[in-house]
Amino acid sequence: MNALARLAADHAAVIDSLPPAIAAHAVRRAAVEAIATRGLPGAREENWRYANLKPLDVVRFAPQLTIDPAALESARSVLPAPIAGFDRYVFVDGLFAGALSAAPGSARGVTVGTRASLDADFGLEGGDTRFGALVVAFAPEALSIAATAGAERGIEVLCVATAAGAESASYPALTLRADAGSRLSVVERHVGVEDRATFSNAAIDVRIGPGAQVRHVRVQQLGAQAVHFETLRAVVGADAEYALDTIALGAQAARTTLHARLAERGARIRYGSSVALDGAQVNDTYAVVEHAAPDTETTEDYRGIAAGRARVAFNGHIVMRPLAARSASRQSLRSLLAGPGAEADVRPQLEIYTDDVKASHGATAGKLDGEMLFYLLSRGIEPRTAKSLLKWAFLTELVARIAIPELRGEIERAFARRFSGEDAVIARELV
Amino acid sequence: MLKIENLHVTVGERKVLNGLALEVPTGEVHAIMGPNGSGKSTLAYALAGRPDYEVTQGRVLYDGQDLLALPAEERARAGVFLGFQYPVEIPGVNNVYLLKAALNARRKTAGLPEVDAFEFLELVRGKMKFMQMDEGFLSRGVNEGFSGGEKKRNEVLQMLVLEPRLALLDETDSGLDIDALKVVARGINSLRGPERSIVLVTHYQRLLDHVNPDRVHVLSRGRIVKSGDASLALELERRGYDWLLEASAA
Repeated sequence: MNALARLAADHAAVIDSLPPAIAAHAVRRAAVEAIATRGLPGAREENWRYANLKPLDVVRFAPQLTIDPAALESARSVLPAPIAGFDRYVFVDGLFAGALSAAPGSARGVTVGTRASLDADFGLEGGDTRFGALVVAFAPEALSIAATAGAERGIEVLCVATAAGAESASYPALTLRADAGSRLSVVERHVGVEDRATFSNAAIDVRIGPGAQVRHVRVQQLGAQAVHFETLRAVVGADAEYALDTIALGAQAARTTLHARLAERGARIRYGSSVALDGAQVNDTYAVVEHAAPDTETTEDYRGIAAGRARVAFNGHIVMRPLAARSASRQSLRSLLAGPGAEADVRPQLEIYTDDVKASHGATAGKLDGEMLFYLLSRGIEPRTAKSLLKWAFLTELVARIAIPELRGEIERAFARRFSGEDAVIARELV
Repeated sequence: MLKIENLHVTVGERKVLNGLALEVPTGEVHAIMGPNGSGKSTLAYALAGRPDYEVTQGRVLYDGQDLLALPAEERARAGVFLGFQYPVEIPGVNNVYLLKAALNARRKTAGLPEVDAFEFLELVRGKMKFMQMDEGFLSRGVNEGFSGGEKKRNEVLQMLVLEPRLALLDETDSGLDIDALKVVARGINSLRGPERSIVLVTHYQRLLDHVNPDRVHVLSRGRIVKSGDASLALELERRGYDWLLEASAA
């Protein structure tokens, strides 16, 4: 049976057990039909050519409907240390694990619920967000986080993948709403049981009201055999800011599709993504930022390092709509090859429909910066040490912006573990 | 200390230095002046061992040793210091780490043990105070977010910590306001001594108002075309470079 037929059959088998509160059955069926009409993405499609889509041939699309005790225990064993001042909510294979979580409800201006209603059109806007529609079709639960003006609360969402993809898929789903003038800080982490070929497909839907500010740190540290897809949608309101920092180290194959819309005057996004891969890992991001209103602003930075035979790809697509007068975008996209068989493809892509905008981009692929290297050598630093220093500097540049010290430290230690030989010695000194 | 004979340097396709000769005795401060594009920075880079600067002819002796045979890092460890015209920013590597690694590399070559962490901080703090720099900078990335003037002070600070035997300062005065210029000049003067040589590459006379050179050389089209004492710099300031270049071309 091909993947599409299997998807339809899996869906028919479970739909009666899926709660309508997350998405009505008609909405779920419509999502499956939309995917059936368009087909699943294929490597021949331009925006998917770097994604590893092979796992779709073996995955069972139906989710777990209850958490079994063994899964809960293995999830417990891989939970990272808590972050001070953050309330933690844990999902195991896409299901809310109350035993490992803070109580849902309202506190300090933020309401957390486990029955978020997913938008019927999520994943249906364009061909690139199809995996998002799959979440609408299958998600058994979804976390909602809503902040009102004056909110002061940090929320940590942990999504743990434990089940093998051949048995079931996991659909972590999250909606973030920041009302006018609110401040929200969310840390979202995806972790998994090592040595298990898990399949997770996440959907994150973000709406930021006028003048609101959302700081969103996303960390993907899934197991070495995991397959992970994620679709993010963000709509940013007038004079609002979305600060998004993404760190990815894990998974055999991971794909991120982001569609951010700067919908009203003065909306801003600051997006940073750091990726460190080794072995035969693949990480591919397709990020569209759409400037749909005047005076909107994008700052986008990417740092991807590929060792071994790993592959990093980032396509940063900026669209300046006719109404985007006086808007600005700045992209700095860089990759570094650290292995003989490694590959990188980093591309800025601009689509501009009005003259009155500023768009700058810089992209470099492959090598360490010669000027920096000479500077270190001229101070007597050994070439090998200098190269290790620059690799470390390359990878941690964006992480330095994360305002939560213990999380930043943890990420740096995880990066350091990625390094070997001289690189690892230097990294440990610098953490 | 430094003896340059018939130095030819090519950068990319361009021949920049064409048979340059220069001698800087130990304990002296020499200024290299000249119009834009005359090869001043190329000389500094070539002496420091920048990889893409190809020496096609000539030789350079440093303490009687063939300097050109050494890779950049060994030149530094042997006591050659280049103060960059445009110091690069290296986010992710902090200043204190670089200073310590650089000092230890130099000490190792000299057969000395690694510097004690406490003594090192004391040393750096003292030098920073002297250079009127804020201590907060130590934990920041190398030159990260520094203004032009702060970068130049940082170059001089590194020089003071490393105590090179031969300092090559490439337009360390450019982009400084008058107060910063005085601080930088004070730093340079503090390093003057009978066991050290300093080469100041500069476009203008103004640094030389504060650091009095023993010799002044004018570089044009990749060669030294005139040498003299400190008064030559004053003459250049008054008359510009054209008269000299015309005379040398004739």
